Parts: sequence; structure tokens; C-alpha cells
Amino acid sequence: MNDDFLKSLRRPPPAAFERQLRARLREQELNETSPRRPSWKLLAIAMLIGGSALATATYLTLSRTRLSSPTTQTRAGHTSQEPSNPGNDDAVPVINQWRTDETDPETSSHASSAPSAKSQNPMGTAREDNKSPAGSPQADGSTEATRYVSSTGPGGSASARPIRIVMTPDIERIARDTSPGSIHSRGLSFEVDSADAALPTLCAEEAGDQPDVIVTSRRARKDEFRLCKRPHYNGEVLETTLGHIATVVTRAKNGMPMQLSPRTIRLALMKRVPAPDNSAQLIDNPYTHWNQIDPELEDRRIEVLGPERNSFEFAVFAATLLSPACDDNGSLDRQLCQTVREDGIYTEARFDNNFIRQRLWSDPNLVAVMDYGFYETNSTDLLGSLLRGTAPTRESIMDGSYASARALHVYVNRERYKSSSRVSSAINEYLRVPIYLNGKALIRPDTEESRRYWYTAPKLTEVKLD
Amino acid sequence: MGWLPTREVDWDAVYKNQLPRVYNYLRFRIGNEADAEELTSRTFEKAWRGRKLYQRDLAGFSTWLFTIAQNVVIDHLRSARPHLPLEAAMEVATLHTPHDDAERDSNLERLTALMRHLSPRDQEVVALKYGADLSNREIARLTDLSESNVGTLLHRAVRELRSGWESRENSHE
Repeated sequence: MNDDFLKSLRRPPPAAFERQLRARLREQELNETSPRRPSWKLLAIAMLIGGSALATATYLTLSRTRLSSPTTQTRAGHTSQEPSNPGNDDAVPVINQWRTDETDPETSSHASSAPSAKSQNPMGTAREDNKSPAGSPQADGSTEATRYVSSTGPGGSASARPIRIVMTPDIERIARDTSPGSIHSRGLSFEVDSADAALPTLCAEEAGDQPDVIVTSRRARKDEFRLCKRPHYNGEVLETTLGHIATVVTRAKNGMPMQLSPRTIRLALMKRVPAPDNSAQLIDNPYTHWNQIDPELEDRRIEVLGPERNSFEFAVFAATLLSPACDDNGSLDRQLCQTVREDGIYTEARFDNNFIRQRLWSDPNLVAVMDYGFYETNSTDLLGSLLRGTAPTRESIMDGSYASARALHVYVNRERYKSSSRVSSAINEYLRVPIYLNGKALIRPDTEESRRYWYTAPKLTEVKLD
Repeated sequence: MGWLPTREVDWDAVYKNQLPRVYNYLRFRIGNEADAEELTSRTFEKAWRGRKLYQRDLAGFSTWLFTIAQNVVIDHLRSARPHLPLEAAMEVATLHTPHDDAERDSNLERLTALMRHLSPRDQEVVALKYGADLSNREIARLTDLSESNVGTLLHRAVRELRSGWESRENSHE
């Protein structure tokens, strides 16, 4: 048995079956495209209602023009930015318009009231780099907010405002190899911003400032949820877990077991570390042997193989093992927490077929840092986790007991989710589909369910405050 | 680039190109011609409704089509299992005394019986590779594996299948 034999087992579909299926698809297409013909009776009623509405609107417009004052003229100047809907009452908030327009809520109102990135990019896709509002390093290391936009809506409508999805920088780096064609054909706009800057805008008072969806590697805090509970605004936030990311530190199967802590790994690999006698002072990493960090460890030179610095595996490594150093020590520069040393202790490796046999087996005492997906596939050839505590399994990653793992969270304003079909489909048909985000890095909450393109578990749940 | 305007998509050509791939993927996965036809129909009917979303991204459509096919298989296996114990399935495969023109189908039945010894992931990878004729890169996208891991899994899976195939042939000699 070989490749040729296996391929010889293919056969063309039976001709009769092919014809029948083609006919069925054509019939399905016709049913979908042919509009239902309205009866004469319905047509007459519609004309009657339409005529009355037109007459009323004309009467009201004329009355308003006669009664216009300097104040109302000024106001009219402002409202010229709002949708030109003759039947629109000024008292109706924009969000209610979204609720009532189920087919394409953003097409007119929102695109014109907000300074749409799309309108600035009539030729199509563009990338914008803007300084973040604070203009300073954010909690997760970003100093700039970046936006990727498309001028095409899901239905091909050129006037539709793209759905704004804000991702934190670590998630953006993990998802970077996502097919741009798929993203842009779906009318989504991607922005990169820190969780600290993005989450408070979820219920922003100005409708144009609201992102539609936020994907972050930290849970939102209570004070951020409370912003949606301000007076006269009964905003609710929905939350779900998109999946988990995890890093494993291991060796070849024939290597010696070793017990490391996340702190040991950081001290071994970060470019700059707190001085041994003054933790407030950062110095170039002086450690060359494991027992210099922890006397109980072996007296062996530190040699670690890890992912390439621009790879998504490195982003996972940084988010799960390196960045928590900054959570523990607020005085550390976030960027420094994600910078590994360049003096030969840390060596970049390519995680392919040859990695284990040619690199790890040739020196069983090398330590390797890899993402959980690669570890799981090759676990039979590896020693197991060198990190103290619970072993890495799908269960321990999901229940949070494995130390070097993080959950990715999705937040959406309930009103936006309920009122706009495009927002809900951005979540359900894009974010939850493994092939669009980096499926290799993400460990989905349920393996079997995650293979389904309509992936629905776990559900979006309303966040409850104590 | 996916967002640049392109010429009108020839969906007839897409249908002609994709139908044999999906059909053979399902044959390899299910090992039963009638079920493979039924599931192929179901896959195309689902995918055809939304195909216009992908008119600027045919590669995306192909991936989407196979994602639907994978889910259709999961549903089918979930609703149908277990048909037969594994041993019985092996017997079914060996009861056949195929005619020449049916030999290929009999071989497929034997193969699918052997494939049931593989893990679900390996079965999937083999069906996508040899049934759907997808490249390792395309399979990697569909299975959340890296391209190199797909190569490794295929190598191991074919080795196991070969060993199972040869041991059964030897036992019949």
C-alpha cells in the first residue's frame, strides 16, 4: 500500500447523482432569489399607507420650516451629519434606529455620525496607526492603536460601516496569520488596542466611539462593567470565552526531569531582570547556570530552545509565561517583560518534523518552550512538563489549574448584539470559527464542538455584578 | 488579494472541481457509497446558500466547504454510531468476493475498516489527503495542526494502515 494505491481508490461521483444534485442546487437558488409576487390587494394597501405617510411628512416639514428659529437652524446644522431620514424624529436615539432596522442597521446612521475609517479609505483596505489616547505604554504593552479596515460589508454594501473588533496586542500577534481575504470579505474592521483603553469604551456615551466586539486576554474588571450601568443607560455586557492559550516547558524523553517555576523561566530568559539585591533596579540578565537562579537546580548551563520572536508561538509564550511578571511587579516595563535575552542562552527554533529528533534528541538536556498544540501532538517523544504543579492537559488548561495558560475573553454590548445581526454574525460566524482566528494556537473549550463551524459553546453570558 | 475586485466567479466550474473532492472525502470517511452521496448533497446544499460571501475568496470557500463537510460527518457519525462492533466491521470487509469492476470499492471498504483502528484525527487527515486530494497546507488549516504535523501524522497513519493491510493478507494466505 502506498500513496498511489490510496489515490487509486478515488472515483468520480456517479453521473446521475451529479446531475440530480446540480438540479437541486439550481432549484434552491431559484427559490432564494425569486421574490414573492405581492397580491393586488396588498399592493393597494401599501400604496394607501405610503401615500398617507408621505402627506404627513410633507405637512410636518412645511410646518417646521415656518416655525424655524435661529436655535433650530443651528441644530439643523448639526443634524446634517445624521441620517437624512424624513420620518426621523429627533428625539429617537440612534440606538433605537439600529433596533428597528434589522436588515442593515449601520448602513446609514452610524456610518455618517462617526468618523468612519471606511469613508477615509474609499479605495478599500487600509491600515491606520494612531497613538493611543493615553499616548503612553498600556497595561499589555501597546503604545499604539492600530486599525485594519475594509470598505466592503458582508453583503457587499459599500456604504455599510464595518463591524469594529478591538483586539489586545497579544491576541493580534497570535491571530496575525489569519487569512486577510477572509477577514476583508466579511466587512470587519480590526483595531489593536490595550484592554485598559478598549473596555471602558464598550458602553461609551457617544455611539460612534463604541467598538462592537472586544477580544482580550484578561477579564474585564468590575469598574469597567459599571460604566455600562450609569444613570439612564441600562447597558449590559455579554461575555464568553473564546478559548485558551498555553505554553509548555519540556525536554526530550531521554532527558533528566527538572522542576522549574514560571519565575525561574523568566529569570533565565528575560533580557533584563531585577537585581538580586534590589528588586526595583533592573540589570542585564547575569544568570548563566540554572543553579544560580535556584540552588536546588542542576549546575548546568542554561540553554533554551524557543519559538522565533516574530511567530505566533512566541506571542503565546510571551502572553502566558513572560507577561505575568509584569502583573506581579507593576514597576516593570511591559515591553521588557516580553523581551528575551540575545546572548545565546535563548535560541530560536523552528517547530517542525525535525525539531524533536534533530535538536532535542541530540542534546537531551536542552530545555524547550513550545505551544501546547505542538506539545500535545508530540507528547510521546517528550519528557512532560518541567513546570511545577499540575501537568498540562486540556482539562487543566481550561479549569485554570495549569500555571502557564490564559483564557481569551470576548465582550460585546448586549444592545449591539441583540439589535445588529451583523454584530452577532461577526461573533458567531467569524470569531468562533477556528479557521479564521489562529486555530493552531487556540485551545477551544470543547474539542468536538470546536470543529463545528457554527460553534456555539459556551454561550455568551450576561456579566453579573455582586 | 482577497478584497480587490475580481471577475465573476464561475460557480459551475467550482461545483465541478469541488464535488469529486467532497464526495471522495466522504467516501473515505464513511466507507459507504449511499451515505457518501447523501452527505455530499447535504454539504453542498448548506454551502451553496452562502457561497456568494466568498466570491472574492475562492480559497476561503473551499475551506468553508470542507468545514461543513467535516461537521456533516460528525453529525452523521454521532447519529449512526455504533453500527457494528469493530470485529464485525472487519468481517464485513472480508466477506466480499469482489468482481473486477467492484474491486476498488471493496478495497475502500477494507481500508475504511482498517481506518477505524486509527484515531479520529488520523482518519480525518487520511480522508482529506487521499479522498479529497488536499495539500498538507490545506489540511493543516482544516485540522488546526501545523503543516509539518500533518506530514508526520500521515506518515504514521499510512504505515499503520499498510501493516494492517499486509497482516490481513498474510492471514488469508
